[in-house]
Amino acid sequence: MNADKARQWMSRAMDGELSSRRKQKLNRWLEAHPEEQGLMHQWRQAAICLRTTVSNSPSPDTPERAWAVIRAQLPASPATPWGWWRPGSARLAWSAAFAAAAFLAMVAWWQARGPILPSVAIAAEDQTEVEWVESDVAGAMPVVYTDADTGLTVIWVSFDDERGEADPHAG
Amino acid sequence: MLARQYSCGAILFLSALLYFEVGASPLTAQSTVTLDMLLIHASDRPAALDTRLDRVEFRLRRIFGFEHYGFLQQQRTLMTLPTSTRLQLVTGHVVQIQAERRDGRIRAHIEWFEKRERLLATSITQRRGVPAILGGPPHDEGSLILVLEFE
Repeated sequence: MNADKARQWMSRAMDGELSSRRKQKLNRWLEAHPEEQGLMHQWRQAAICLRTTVSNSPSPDTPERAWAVIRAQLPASPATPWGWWRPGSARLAWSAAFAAAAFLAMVAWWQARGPILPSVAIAAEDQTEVEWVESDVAGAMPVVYTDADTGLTVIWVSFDDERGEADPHAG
Repeated sequence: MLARQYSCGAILFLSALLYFEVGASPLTAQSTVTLDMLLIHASDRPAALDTRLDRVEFRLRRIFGFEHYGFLQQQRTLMTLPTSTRLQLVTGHVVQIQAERRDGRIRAHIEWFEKRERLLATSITQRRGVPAILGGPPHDEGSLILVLEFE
């Protein structure tokens, strides 16, 4: 076994992950290499020191207790608990402004859109079908006209001159 | 951190897009449509070109014989079929529309009122995206033209 392999096994032994057979083999190797044995000893001391420090805190054996331990260690008023999106953050303000501008742009775009009269003829099967047209105005004359170029359907009511601005421009 | 900031903005933007496009998207429920309404004043009185009608005026000129076309009003209404809606025009007229889905098309019963007088009433069946043009009511030395389109 070389030193690298031995240190891997030493680490696994510290974590309790080394099998007993390999542990025996490692011990035999360490007896033959006192400098590595010293390193192993240092690791053990460090582990004991760490365990002692941790054991001063109650053992959180349930999630609730674990959270209680963490919460107790939190400062009462953390300096930056929310990161960039904490209330009052300049980045949050910019993000909100960006979102608001995007939203308003969407509204404006949506409102500005409107019917576009087609530049190519509408197929006959897609053209608007008119069942009937009527007007309650005396003398009014309803007309249905389909424009040959576009296939658009025009429903027009012509009113007589007495009503005012009657205009025979349709069609 | 910056990526998170842009992600947040992008999510809001896309949410808005989804909300406003809900009526036009073929992926959404077929019964939700957007009604586009455009009201135009057509007359022979000399007047400047109205740039708000750039997308429609060249077609109107080929269909009608008026000299001038002026923008009066535009409105979009989200509708869940079957339903009825009432459009209040800036000219004081009222247009009442009852719409329902029929065989993949939209059947609309349209009534155009001036005060209580029914100037025009019609029943049409049209596809989404195909505008219908109604008109004729006199207004300010000209006539009114109403373009209706379901999206």
